[in-house]
Amino acid sequence: MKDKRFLLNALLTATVGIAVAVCVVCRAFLPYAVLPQLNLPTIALLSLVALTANAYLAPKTKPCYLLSASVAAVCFGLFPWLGGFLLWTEAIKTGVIGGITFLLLTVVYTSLQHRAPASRFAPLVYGFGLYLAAQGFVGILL
Amino acid sequence: MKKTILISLVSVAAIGLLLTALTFGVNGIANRNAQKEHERLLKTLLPGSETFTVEPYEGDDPLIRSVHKGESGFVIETAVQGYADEITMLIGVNNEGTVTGLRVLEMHETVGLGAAALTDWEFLAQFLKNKGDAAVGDNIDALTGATVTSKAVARSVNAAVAFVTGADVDSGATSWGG
Repeated sequence: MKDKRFLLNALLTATVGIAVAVCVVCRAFLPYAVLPQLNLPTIALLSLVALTANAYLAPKTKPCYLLSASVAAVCFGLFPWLGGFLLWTEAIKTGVIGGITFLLLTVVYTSLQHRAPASRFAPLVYGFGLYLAAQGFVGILL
Repeated sequence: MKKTILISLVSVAAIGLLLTALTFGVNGIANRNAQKEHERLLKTLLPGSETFTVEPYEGDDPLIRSVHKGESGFVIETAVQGYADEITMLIGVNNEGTVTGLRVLEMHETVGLGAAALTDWEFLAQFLKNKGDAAVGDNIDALTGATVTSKAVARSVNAAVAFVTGADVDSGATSWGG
């Protein structure tokens, strides 16, 4: 079987990269547009988009958790800093939080994927459900 | 595993380079558009003024960030603590101490509740022609489910008017709006 463990990392990199690029362009042409904050719900959303895409493209692949968490930490810290949205000190903090969040979501998502019944829309349902759970969790934190 | 690590590193590096190029590429456009939009906004918030000068603010009101003086009044930038985070606003006040325009620049209030202050024109329009006596529950109707946000906006408006009229910050003229 082809090793597709790289796909999740590539998808996450692309998702976060595209999101930051869109924000850069919005800031250039709509200076007073209120852009979404890079907070836990946003990190969870971007992570789950990548996880859901990976579930469709590489359904039976078990990710390398440590590598994926490291890539996530770099993406969530480095890309917003490169886009000029964060200072380097904030970027480090955001990167760490992003890495941990992505790791937790990957573990839970992969468990759901391998244990729950499979269907065509199952990855979408898992992603949506986990996003609601992440929002609820943030609500408890606040 | 080596392949996985290599592809991950290459994708991060590639996207990082692209983002850097994009940020530097649009930097000039971003600055020009921000400047143009800022000037347009100031003229909209304070009708009758064409040129503005930034005046240093040396008062005691912690809500006031900066002051733009025009021919017919001032546009004051305020920052007030809302429910979730700071709310930054621009408020136009003419020389008679009447609010001529206001715009929320930045906020991160609860989506569906306080965030409506960004675009709910019925709510914001209540502050037009106000003379610094905005009080939620009295002459201002709050946004549904967003009383804290509504009071924060009222407080900003009162602070801006107090700056123009010279009202004493400690006198209660800029007290919690409602």
